[in-house]
Amino acid sequence: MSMNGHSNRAIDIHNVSVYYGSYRAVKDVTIPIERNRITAFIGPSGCGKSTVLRAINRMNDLIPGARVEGEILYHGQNLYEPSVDPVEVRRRIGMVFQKPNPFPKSIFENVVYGPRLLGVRDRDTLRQIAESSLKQAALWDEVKNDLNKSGLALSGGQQQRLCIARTIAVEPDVILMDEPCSALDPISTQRIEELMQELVSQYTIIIVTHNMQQALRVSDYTAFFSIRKSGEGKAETRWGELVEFGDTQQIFTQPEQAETADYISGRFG
Amino acid sequence: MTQIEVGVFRSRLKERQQRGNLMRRLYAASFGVAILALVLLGLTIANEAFGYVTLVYQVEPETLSERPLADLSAAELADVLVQHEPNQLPKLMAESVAHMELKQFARLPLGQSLAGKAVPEAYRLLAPVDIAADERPAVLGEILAASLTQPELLHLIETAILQPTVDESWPLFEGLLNRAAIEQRLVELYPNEMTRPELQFKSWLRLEMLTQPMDSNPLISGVRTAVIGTLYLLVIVVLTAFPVGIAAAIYLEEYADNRKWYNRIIETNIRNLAGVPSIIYGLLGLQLLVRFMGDPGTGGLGLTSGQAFGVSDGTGRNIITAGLTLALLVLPVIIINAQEAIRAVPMSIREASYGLGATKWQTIRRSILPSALPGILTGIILSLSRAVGETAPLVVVGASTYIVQDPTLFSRFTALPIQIYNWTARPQAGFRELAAAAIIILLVLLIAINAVAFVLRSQARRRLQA
Repeated sequence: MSMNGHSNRAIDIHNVSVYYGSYRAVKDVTIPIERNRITAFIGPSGCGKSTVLRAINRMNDLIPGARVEGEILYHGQNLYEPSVDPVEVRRRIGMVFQKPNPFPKSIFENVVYGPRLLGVRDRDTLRQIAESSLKQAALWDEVKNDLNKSGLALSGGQQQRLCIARTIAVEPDVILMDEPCSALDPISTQRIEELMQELVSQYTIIIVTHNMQQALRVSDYTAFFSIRKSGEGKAETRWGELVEFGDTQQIFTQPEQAETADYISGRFG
Repeated sequence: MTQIEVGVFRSRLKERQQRGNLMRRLYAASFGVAILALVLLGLTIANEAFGYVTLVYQVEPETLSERPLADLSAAELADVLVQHEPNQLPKLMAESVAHMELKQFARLPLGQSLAGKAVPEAYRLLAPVDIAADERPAVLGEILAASLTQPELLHLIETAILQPTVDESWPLFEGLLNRAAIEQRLVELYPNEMTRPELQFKSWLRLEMLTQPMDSNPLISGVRTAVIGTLYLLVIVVLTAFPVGIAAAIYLEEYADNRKWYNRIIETNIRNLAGVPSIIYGLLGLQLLVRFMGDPGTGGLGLTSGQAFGVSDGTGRNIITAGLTLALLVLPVIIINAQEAIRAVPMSIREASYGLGATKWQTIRRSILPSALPGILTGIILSLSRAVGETAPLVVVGASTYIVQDPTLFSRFTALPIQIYNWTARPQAGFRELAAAAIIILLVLLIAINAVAFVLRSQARRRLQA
């Protein structure tokens, strides 16, 4: 794994372990994230895939006692160096959450929340940002006439696209998606998947998903995580580890590890 | 085997339903008790605030005018004054209208002594001594008619000429249900029919109470100075306790690390402070605000008594210290409620904000506070209601009970609950009834405050919903 930042790498996750207090939740994960590609994190519940995802934009910092060891390189810069401000990291590495979480504000205010944070005040500029972000999120045609309506009045799928528009509005270059479709119906899910395919020409996308079909449909690369155990009874500890990373087609058709093959064919998890 | 089990289930279902029904009846009964208590409270207050009285007049109203005085115009009322008290007019005007000594009033131009009243242009530069003695009553009457409103003149006649006093007073229900016995008693007291006072209905609650200052005669005493005092206190509580309380709640919820033992101790203690008896806050206010920060005469800093701001006669027993004491009293309630409201803001909202690159303060300002606002307002409603009704700390801090002049920030003051407390303790007829009327005014004030907060809260809530 090169340390000097490959030109086509957006992010280098290098020997990352995540701790909550003294408990190590994830151990020694190394994944290269290609620019303008979709990388999927899959694995059984509790395998640490979301934990790693949230380490990338330093969301874990919000949890008291959370700590990251190892390096996450972004344009060659270690995101966990003391000089790096997590606030700036999160603007450049946006996030879409499992449950659609629009602010209890109007659709317009939802989209321009980020630009307003950055100090954009001009009404016309904000309007342009809102329009282009909503267009990119394939939501503009549905909401252009009621931008002042509450974001909470939208359907679940529309809310999730609103959250994507909101993320796009601050011009990140990486978008993290934490099971973005798990709360949505199949039609809304399909729209989000189509949207991801459109967005990937401009953004690097990392998606955590429980749905292996989804990983197969949308992603270019797949990282398979699993749970490791040691000890017995009360002394038992569990942590997540990366089992295998590679081209999605290869992971799903010719996995190198037997565990990956078992998981993908539905024998466990 | 199957049959028996089904049977067992059925009988237990009945038992469970019965238990449920019993509980439902208990809840309904509790609710009934609460409603009954409320109705009784309302009836008691109404019983006192309205009733029947016999009045004794210094001068019988019938002798002044053939028509009821209330129906007379301002000019006619002024005429009554001129006819009845021609020689006392300057003194009356000096004391009751200009609020000064007669000597001073006589020499000052009327435009100056009656500043703020609609004195006709022609008399503005004239002093009462300049008017010929035989013309004086007529001229002053003309000025009175022009410069005072009809209710003001009526009040003047009542206090100056009629001087009614309460002879006997009966509460509303006794007057309604036991009329015969009361009439009987009047006959016994006044065997002579000519001098027997008339039993009349009396509403102790009068709208004019809001504009009239206190008086030693319950018939004409108002609550103006107490209402002003209470409103001042509320403003001070709003301006001090709310910002401090909300800021403290934000600090405790968003910044303080509650894994640290000292932060946990602070939080527990704030919770305990909310339950401390209010009189103890009064003692704190007395020692800290009145004595230490107040009256320089007892070694204080002169801050809350006004010496530091150029007020010379302040003692520290004023609206500032009382308002700050009440602010201290409600601070824990505000902090606790605001904390609960902030804690109830879902993590997903915070994550959404942080995820867009918001700083902590931006997240608090733009997401957490707007979402927590309805809950914070609930705490504010609770605390304002408490502050309005508190009596004990004001007694300790040193509220006065008889205030005629509108209070200022550094002057002696009174407040509605103090006034009510004081009136209920007076032995003379009429004051207990007046206290009941003041209670109604206090309740209306409370409801008005709550209504405003309620509207604000539902607006804030609506803004958060779809």
